[in-house]
Amino acid sequence: MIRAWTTVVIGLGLASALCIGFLAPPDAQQGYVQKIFYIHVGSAMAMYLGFGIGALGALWYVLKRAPAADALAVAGIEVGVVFCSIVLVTGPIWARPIWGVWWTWDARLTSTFFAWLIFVSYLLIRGVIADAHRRRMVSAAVALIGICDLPIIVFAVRLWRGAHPSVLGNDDSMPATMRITLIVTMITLLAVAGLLIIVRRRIELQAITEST
Amino acid sequence: MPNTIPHALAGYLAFALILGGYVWHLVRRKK
Repeated sequence: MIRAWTTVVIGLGLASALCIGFLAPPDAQQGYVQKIFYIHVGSAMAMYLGFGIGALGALWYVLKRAPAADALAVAGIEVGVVFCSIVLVTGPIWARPIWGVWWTWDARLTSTFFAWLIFVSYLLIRGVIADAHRRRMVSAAVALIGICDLPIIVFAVRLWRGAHPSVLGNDDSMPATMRITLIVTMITLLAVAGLLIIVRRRIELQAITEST
Repeated sequence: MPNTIPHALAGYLAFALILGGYVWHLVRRKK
């Protein structure tokens, strides 16, 4: 299954690269830096997927105490942190020439940074608690706290009207070529995240089997 | 149209390094 999924991901990746490179035009006002948009938004969606699956795994562990649930939690959250890092790095690189600053304490930026801090602390906590059950319970609690920040990220642009634009939901905000490119890139990055979560979960399950 | 190509390239390089680095890390751990 992983091999087939990898093939699909490579195909989607090529399609995304072609769309970004040749289909989507450079933005008339921003120039080529606007093309960061596709990987920035796509990575944000992959981040939601990773953290969402991670939190579901954490909840499943709290309810059932199954090590397999913890493996799902750590896989989802680790992949979520990777995509959150991409969002937090590509955002400022795009913002610098457009907003004039690398960073501003806008509601969406701040809440995304908070999510990164909480879920990185989840990964760090796992490294310092030796007892397996205690480690899983404490880290699950951190994951369930962290997931409460996600709705704040989603609704931040509507609630506080900061510097970050609200892109999704505005049908007339971009031409069709840009929208198609965004959709293809989003599907690609969600497929990449799904594949990485499966692989990471298998590694964790293997570690559990070897330790028992 | 402003020349923002260096920033665009930097953004894609950062994306490739972070995602590629994590994939490399996973492949190494899987072996």
